[in-house]
Amino acid sequence: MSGFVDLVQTLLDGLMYGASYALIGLGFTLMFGVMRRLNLAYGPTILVGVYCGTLAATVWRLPFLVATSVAVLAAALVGRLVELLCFRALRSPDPLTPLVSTFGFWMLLEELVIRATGAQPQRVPNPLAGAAFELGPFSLRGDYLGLLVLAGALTGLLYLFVYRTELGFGIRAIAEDARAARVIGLDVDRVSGAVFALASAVGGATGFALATSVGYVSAEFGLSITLKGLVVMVVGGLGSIPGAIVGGLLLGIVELQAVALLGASYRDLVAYILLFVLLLIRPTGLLGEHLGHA
Amino acid sequence: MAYWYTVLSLAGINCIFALSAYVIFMTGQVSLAQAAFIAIGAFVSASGTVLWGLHLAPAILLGGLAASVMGLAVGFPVLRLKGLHLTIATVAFTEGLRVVFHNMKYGRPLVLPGQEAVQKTAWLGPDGPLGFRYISWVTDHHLTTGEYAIWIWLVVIALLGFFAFLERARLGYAMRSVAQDQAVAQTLGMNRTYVNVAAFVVGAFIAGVGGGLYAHLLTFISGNDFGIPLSVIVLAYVVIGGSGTYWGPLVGAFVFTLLPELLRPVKDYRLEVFGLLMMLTMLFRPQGVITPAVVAWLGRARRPAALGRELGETP
Repeated sequence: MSGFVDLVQTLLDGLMYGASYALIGLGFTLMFGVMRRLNLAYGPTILVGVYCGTLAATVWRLPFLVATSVAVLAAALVGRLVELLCFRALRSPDPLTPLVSTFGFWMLLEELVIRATGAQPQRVPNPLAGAAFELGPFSLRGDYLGLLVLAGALTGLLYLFVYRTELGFGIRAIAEDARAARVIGLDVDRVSGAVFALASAVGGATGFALATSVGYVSAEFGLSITLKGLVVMVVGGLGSIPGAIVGGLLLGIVELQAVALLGASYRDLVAYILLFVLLLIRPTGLLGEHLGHA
Repeated sequence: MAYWYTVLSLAGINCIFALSAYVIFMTGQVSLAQAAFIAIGAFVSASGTVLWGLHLAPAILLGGLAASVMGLAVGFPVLRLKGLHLTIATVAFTEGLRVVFHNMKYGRPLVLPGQEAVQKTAWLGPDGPLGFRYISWVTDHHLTTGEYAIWIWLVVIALLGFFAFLERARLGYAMRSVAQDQAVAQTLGMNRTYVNVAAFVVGAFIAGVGGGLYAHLLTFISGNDFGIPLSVIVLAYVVIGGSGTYWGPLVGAFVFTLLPELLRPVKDYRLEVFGLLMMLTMLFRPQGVITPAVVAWLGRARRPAALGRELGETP
């Protein structure tokens, strides 16, 4: 019986944790949907946001919500910069060009953060540390629950934004066919700039919430976020918004089950095996429909 | 001087890595699996000299072979995918293998005569997150850093000979045509899967050999050294140097290893400069520094005859 309780407990934890992965995957999906190009600098962008937020919370002792806004703003700003320097300014149709230049930007950002922190992991205060919500035999960690609430709210907002606003219409039109969107007079540059800022802002909020739950942030955070986002986007199906949500939740569940069953050192291995096998048997991802654009 | 020999060795090894990525790149595939093959070569050849008492040369060949066997096993399923899906599958493979190497432990404790107390800390073979230490074949056999650098560059020169041959061989043309248009290449009677997998296996072998040389240069390796960042840097050498000829990756790797060492004042900002240069190259010369046209131009300047026609496919 207790084995079953543990299983469900891990499942719940995974679901709550996975909600944040879903958001990261969503950010990736939005950018990929519009650009059809990979933004490897997404993780480091979020890293810079989280670092600025941490600075605000620990050094300037600003309240938690203000610190979060600092993280969001910083990430959005850097995300906008990535779009300008690594996508818009490039005049090459080769998809490898932004891959290399976003990686160059990644090195730049990561080194700057390492230089600023002296390569030391930074402690991130957790306002919900130790708080827990009891539900029968299960206990829901306060910070995980916070992640879930944040992810739910942001996902809802993103959904409304993409499906109910004019800019969202532009995003969907460009994702469908960028050339046709240009022909009907959509300002593709404006939309892609907005998408990068938005995705990075969402990433900044999510990353900051994740970092508070983990308790610290180090320079490797950027790499891990980029990889997690890629896994979620591809597992869910390239360019599919519901796919990113399902993929994120799935990744969270799988990871925490792997930790519970195999130990923390194999946490990532299980996720990569899952991705590899899924790609081989179903390259379109769980909810992706078509392959053509990639 | 020894310091410069080490830098030269590292430059040579980076050239080998870049050329290994270039083989696969010739077929138009973007694979980020090179770091995994480098890791296999590094760990297998280090095990060869440290644990199995092999000479360096067979150990490194063994590392290359192990990497190419893995390349064959992974290449068949992965190369059925296209474009971004292929790239992401190789990301999953590389990162998965990195976790395995990071947690792997085998070998035996290192016991020096009269120092049994050290036994607890010194371990021959990969020791989980602590990494594989004491890969000391080169110093054990009194090879100086200069001599080792010469050996590495002999391998680079041998590889260049191979690429000069490949560029004119049937397989080379087949690889280029598969990259241009898979469907047309197939109608011309080229077996796409065969060509792709062959390139993957050859690239894995070269990467494995480079990994073996790398492990014996550093004498210490750890699973986390061989993640996606290494794969991307190696690919960046190719893209920055120019992917049209084999001189591109060579120049890319060589310059980007030596440049930060030469720019003494900015040496502390090595990685920042590297990142910035990557971005600037993509902004102003996205086709890479060395294009077939540049090679043809250099050839023509030297020998005014018809060599240019042979080398140059002007873009």
